[in-house]
Amino acid sequence: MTSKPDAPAVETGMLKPIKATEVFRKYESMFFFVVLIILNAFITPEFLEWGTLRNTLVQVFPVMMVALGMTMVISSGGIDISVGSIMAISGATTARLYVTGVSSLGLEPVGLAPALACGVAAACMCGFLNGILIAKCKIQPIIVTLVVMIAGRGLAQIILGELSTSLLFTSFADFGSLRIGGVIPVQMLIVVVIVAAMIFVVKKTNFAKRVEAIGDNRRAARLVGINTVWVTVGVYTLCGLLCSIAGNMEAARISVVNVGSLGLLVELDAIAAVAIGGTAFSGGKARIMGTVFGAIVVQLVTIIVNMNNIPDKYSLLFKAVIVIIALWTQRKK
Amino acid sequence: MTKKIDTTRLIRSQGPLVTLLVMCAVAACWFPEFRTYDNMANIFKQVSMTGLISIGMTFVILSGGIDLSVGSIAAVASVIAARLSGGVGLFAVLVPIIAGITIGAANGVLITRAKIPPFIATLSMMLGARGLAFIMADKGGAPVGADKTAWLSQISKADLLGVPWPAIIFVLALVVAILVARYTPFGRSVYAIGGNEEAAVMMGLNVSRNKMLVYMICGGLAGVAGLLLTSRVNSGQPTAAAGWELIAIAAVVIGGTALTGGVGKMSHTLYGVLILGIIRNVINLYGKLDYWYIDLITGILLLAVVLLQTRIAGKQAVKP
Repeated sequence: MTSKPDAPAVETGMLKPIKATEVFRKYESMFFFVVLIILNAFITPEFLEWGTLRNTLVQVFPVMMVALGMTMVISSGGIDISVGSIMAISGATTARLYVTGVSSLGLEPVGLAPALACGVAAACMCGFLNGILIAKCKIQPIIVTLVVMIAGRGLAQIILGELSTSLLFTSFADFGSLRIGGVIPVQMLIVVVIVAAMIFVVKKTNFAKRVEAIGDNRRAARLVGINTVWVTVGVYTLCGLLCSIAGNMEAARISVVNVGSLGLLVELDAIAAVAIGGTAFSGGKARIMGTVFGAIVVQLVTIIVNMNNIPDKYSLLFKAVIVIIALWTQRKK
Repeated sequence: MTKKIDTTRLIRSQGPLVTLLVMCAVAACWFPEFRTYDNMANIFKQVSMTGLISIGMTFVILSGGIDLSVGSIAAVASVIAARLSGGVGLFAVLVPIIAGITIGAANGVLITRAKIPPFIATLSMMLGARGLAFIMADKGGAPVGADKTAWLSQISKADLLGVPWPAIIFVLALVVAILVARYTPFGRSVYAIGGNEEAAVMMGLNVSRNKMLVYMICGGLAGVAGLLLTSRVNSGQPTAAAGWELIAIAAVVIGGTALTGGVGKMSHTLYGVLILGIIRNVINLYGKLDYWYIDLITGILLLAVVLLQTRIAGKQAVKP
């Protein structure tokens, strides 16, 4: 898109006038976070108890994972609305191999590790395919990922086979509800590890700088010698990888794979998280911590809706409004 | 104009028609049932709803935008129509269409005033309007039963000289849209805006107003589609019409309209609509494939055509 001048011309002294809107834009996710915590503390019964807090952190897991991948995609100036379907494809692949096997190929059910590996690989393949179609074939991201979003659920159904739409995991399900030391859910540990890894990637690696450069100005990025095709493919593959973690962990937590509902509408939550987190939709700097808080904010909205007997259907409307408000504050002056 | 452009133009303009004729021939040879008049009427009846949306989507895509909210708008209109079907017939028809136009206007405001990119604004609206449809539905998002005796539910059953009414409505709307796109100042403005928005501004066109109008038309036609849906299934379905945005976008693009905007023909959208309708019809006649495959084939076809367009036209301006 257009370049953003940093307006350094007026920087004459130490006192740079601070605009309220700029502060708000920078700490938007924190602002929403604090407001929602306070709001929840007042109106939601039993909100400030460990059980509720723990549930929040477990339930936010898939949104958090997907939103982290989405942050990188949006930072590169793209969008990925196929994330929910990729979650379903990944979960379906794991379930098919782990529980039933592929009888037509004479494949017996395999162990958990190879099944998971295939599930992760399937999601990465989807992301890879997205990336190739977008970067190499130059089709708009919204079209490519819309196709994968809608056709992907059909594909997941085909992968899962003719049996029912849901399958029960056994020992994998135990992992999904594992509590480390009996207290800390395993999802929290994974979140900490992945967020740390993502922050490292964004702050320390050239990859993130290239992604940012592509998001700011693709042409300029190509002219300075960045391989825009493979960096873009990498971004979408990374998003696919994170979707597979989200999909399989969520399947393990609720111990079923239902291709109709696994990861359904997660793209809205993820996009909302990124928008609240302050990553510009025109591409540019990826704000990982912003997205982390953004994801929690989205989950807090869900909790307000769920725990105060507001019908679940209102949450779609609330979240759509939040995305629009967040983008409104982001728009260029 | 050089010769090279002429060949690309030829492929652009005649490709969809050739594809359509080939598909008709293959389907007619393969399935004897395909050749019957009833089946033809049925195809037109089936494509009438997504066809109406495709007309609106053609305007949107010609203007350089995209509208993902059409399916959800149809669902909202469908639920409203079912709710009102017991009362005065005129209201049951007008209010859903007005609701569609209103949501379209909201899209337009977000895109022209708030300057939110079309795909993000309409994506939010797609999910928000779906929520709205659920809110207006019965408890737990159950379908709303329509008054079966109302004349609303007769629209999809009745026919005029053997031609089903939904087909007539679709074709009429298409004819009007073709004339609007070709002969009115608004239609020409849409092409100009899609071709080069900055140039359109400098030419003194009111870009914001025209874009608003484009999204309102798209929303209104989605409302009509929702109305026909209610008439067809005799109930307001909050979960229905999911994925229609893909079908509509695919129909427009298969018809040769460029996703980059400014290039394309309204009349060719008909080819795209019919190609997708025949694919669906053939899958039904074949009877061995799940309905999942319709989405899969539609999606793959869309990607293939876009790929072909970017390659043939050599338009490297498509910004990924």
